[in-house]
Amino acid sequence: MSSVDETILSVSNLSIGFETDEGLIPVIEEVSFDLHTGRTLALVGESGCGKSVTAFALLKLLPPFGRIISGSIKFRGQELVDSTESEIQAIRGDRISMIFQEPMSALNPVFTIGSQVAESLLLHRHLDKKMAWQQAVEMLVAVGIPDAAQRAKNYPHQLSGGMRQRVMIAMALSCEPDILIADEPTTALDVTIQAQILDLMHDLQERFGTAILFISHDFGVVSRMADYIAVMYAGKIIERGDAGEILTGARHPYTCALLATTPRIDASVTRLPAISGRVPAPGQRPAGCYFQPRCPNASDHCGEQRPPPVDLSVTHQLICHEVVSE
Amino acid sequence: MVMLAPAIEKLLGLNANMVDLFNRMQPASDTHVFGTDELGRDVLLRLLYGGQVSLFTGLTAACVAATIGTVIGLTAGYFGGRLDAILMRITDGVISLPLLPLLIVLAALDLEKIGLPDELVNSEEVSFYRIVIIVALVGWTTVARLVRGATLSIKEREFIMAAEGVGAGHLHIMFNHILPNLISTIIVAVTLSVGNVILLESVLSFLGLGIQPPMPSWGNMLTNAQALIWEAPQLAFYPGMLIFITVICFNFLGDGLQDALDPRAEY
Ligand SMILES: Nc1ncnc2c1ncn2[C@@H]1O[C@H](COP(=O)(O)OP(=O)(O)O)[C@@H](O)[C@H]1O
Ligand SMILES: [Mg+2]
Repeated sequence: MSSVDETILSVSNLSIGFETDEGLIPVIEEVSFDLHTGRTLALVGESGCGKSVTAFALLKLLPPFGRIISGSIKFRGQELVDSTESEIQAIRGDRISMIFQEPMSALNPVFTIGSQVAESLLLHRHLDKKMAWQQAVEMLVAVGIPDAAQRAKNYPHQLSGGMRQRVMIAMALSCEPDILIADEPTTALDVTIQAQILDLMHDLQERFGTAILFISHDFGVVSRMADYIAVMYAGKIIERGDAGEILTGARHPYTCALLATTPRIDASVTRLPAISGRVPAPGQRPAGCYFQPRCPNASDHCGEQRPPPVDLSVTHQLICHEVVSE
Repeated sequence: MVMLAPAIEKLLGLNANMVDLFNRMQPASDTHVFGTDELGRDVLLRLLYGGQVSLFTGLTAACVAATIGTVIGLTAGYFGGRLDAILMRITDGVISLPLLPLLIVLAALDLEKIGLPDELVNSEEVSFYRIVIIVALVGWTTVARLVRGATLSIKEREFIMAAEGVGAGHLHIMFNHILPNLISTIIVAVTLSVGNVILLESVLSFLGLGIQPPMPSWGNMLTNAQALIWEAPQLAFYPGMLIFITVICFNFLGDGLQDALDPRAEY
């Protein structure tokens, strides 16, 4: 087992494009981040910012028209960008695994949940069926499924949404992976269940020392989970820092706007502001700063030049024309 | 019922192939419940044995055709691209072949001339194998198209992505994740085509190219009855009616199985 805080996955300058009739359109541009054992990095942004594409790219699960244009993904020193299909298959589900937003559609409707949890054990651990089933049941116990031995024989449609997400987590963690990618794991659940699932992920992270890449559009959820936060807008990371630095000291106008749209318990305002406008689609990104058309602080040169990187501390960085480091 | 043919044969003390020229084309009686045919054979027993042959032919041929169709459809749908294009053009090609003339040519092929061993060519079952192969050669296309269509939609579902995410390879995903979701589709297609094969067999038999006498099948019984349609209409009526009922039953069976096999339909 690796010690906490060791860098286990390192993404640098990753750019991804989609092949279309008009040529290769950039979707993800120059994204860099590290994942640390036992820590959670939250990737935050509105829908359509490229969070899922980034996450799937780590396992090379891009749509058929997706290309990694440049950059590197290093997992324990192994370069994943130019790994072969069978090398990456050996990593998927064993060392790096995923959970999805919609637990219903991510479970195969014709198999029992027990056999789905057992699958990665069969694929990677080459256990015999009985052993794999037994471990699957243990895993279901670990994620808090009551009466797991019986429940394991159920089909996905016989479970509630929260239970299904627990099953997804059991599937993802059955081989005790180093990294868990959670793509909006609680978005489809109601608030109380959401809290339970977040607590569960926390507990399991402590138990297994898993590094988590936690994807969400909701700062409320992120504040409960994240050790580090990276904010993504139109395929770029526009601000990053330790969780505290971002949650209380965000400087990028987009991050501030996102934080302002998050409901707070101590809030005196009853109406939440919404950010006007929409995330530009890939291929329709403006010439200068991508956020400029929606930015309240934008000045003339924002629309012409790409914003420079600004370092506010060793860990807190952003790209913006209007923010200068003290 | 048809499975019990030998038992019923014993019970009645009759033999399906026993010729009794003095009792030709009898109407129903105590000894011959459904009467006798043009050679004085018991119609009930021949119907039962014919049923065995027809159903077995239908099932075997439909299953062989479905297996070929499933593999082709799954491959085309899953891999897509050029492989899909090639396989689907082949399918279109087979579909656009004029079916009946082709069947007649295939059915009339002199097997000895294409180098098959004598004992096979002269065995009683050769007409059976012939039908199965013919139907399989032309009948896989429906299942192939169905399976391809279903594969295309299933492979976009998130659980296939999830399966890739746990490190499953292409073949594993095709056969262990997609195929089980297609079973009900395939079974329905098979049950429906069992009916079709039985019809096809009777068409071929009607042309004298199907299951060969003395092995009875509903198809060749219908053919024999044709010549005697005025003297003994019941001889055409019984097998015709049975084909009709069987085909309908298989259609109902298809529906029923679809519901029974779908785990979501348990409520
Ligand atoms: N399979 C796909 N086909 C076409 N466009 C896609 C596909 N996946 C993602 N995109 C596009 O890529 C961009 C980023 O999408 P995504 O990563 O899913 O955003 P997020 O997860 O942040 O909501 C969006 O503009 C989206 O329309
Ligand atoms: Mg997404």
